[in-house]
Amino acid sequence: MKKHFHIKNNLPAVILIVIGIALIVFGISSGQATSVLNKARKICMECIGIG
Amino acid sequence: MDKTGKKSAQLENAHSSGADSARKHCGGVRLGIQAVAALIQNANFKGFFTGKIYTGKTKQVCVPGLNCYSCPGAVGACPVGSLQNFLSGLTFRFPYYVLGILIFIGALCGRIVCGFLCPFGFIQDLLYLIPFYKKNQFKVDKYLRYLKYAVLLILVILLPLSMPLTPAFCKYVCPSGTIAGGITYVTNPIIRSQFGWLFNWKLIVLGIIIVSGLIVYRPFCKYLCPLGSFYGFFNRFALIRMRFDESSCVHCGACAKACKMNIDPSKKPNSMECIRCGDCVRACPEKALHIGVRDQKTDTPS
Ligand code: SF4
Ligand code: SF4
Ligand code: SF4
Repeated sequence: MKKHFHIKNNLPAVILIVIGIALIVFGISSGQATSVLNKARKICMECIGIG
Repeated sequence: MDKTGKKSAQLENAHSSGADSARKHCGGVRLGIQAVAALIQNANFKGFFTGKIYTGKTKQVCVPGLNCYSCPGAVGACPVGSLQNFLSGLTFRFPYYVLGILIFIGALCGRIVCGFLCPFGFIQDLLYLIPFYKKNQFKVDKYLRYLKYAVLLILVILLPLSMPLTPAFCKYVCPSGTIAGGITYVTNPIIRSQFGWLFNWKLIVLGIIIVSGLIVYRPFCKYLCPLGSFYGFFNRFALIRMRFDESSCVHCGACAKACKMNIDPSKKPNSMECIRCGDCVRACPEKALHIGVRDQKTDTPS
């Protein structure tokens, strides 16, 4: 069976992907990736159930 | 052959032993992919013996599924934990980065993450394989499904916003964090002495999820997971989604019968509950369903 890629049917996805990338880039440029790293490299007491 | 004749013939084919073994084989391939994904996301193997968590740079990247960053094996960050951290009342910052990652993944593939990449989804798939009393369809199921949206709204967004430094979902519910806690408990004697009532509470929650996971397919994903509920919103639009060719469908019901998330993909191919496991695609004798970026003859987004 023939399959086709219609950009019209996939436009919302493409727009959301672009928005996602823009947010990631803006987040990185404002230091948010570093904030994630700082949190993730320490044991989170709440996560493991100490509080 | 008319549609009814075609239907019974195809149903027979669909349930033949050849089709069954092909289905099992493909299910095995998915389990393999899930295992590899879980290993990659937890590649700090020595942490499992030392109890020390990984501190390298890859931890600034959020993984797509639920995998606690406090797990000694984890090499990436958990998106749900990171999101709560940004929203925290004391240090609120709009979570551009984490939200961007979640929107990007959601728009690209929706809940394919759940079917293939999430380690906690994988654990539940393994649990359901254990021979035990099974009851995957029951009356309150459809009402319980709404619970996960409340978890997302209240525990992941509202409570962290209103209570400083309280990632409420991590603290009171998240089973991935409890597993990380369990590993830390066994391997890290310094932290072990600090475990108390909260850990006991989280153990009870984890226990309920595990026992119910023996009976019901993926109870945590169906009823509690805030990440699954978030990605679910994207199932309808995602670039890689279910494509349904209505003109090929003979309404035999084989797809709905194969679905352990209790969806009828011939009616709702892009249901928010669909984890894109592909069981229905393999069950369909007419190849009316497929998961991908290209439409078949017709595409019914619903
Ligand atoms: S619903 Fe949550 S726990 Fe389940 S597979 Fe998806 S992200 Fe993982
Ligand atoms: S989509 Fe479902 S109901 Fe339609 S032919 Fe395929 S298995 Fe049967
Ligand atoms: S509808 Fe199909 S792909 Fe989605 S969960 Fe059910 S069987 Fe899996």
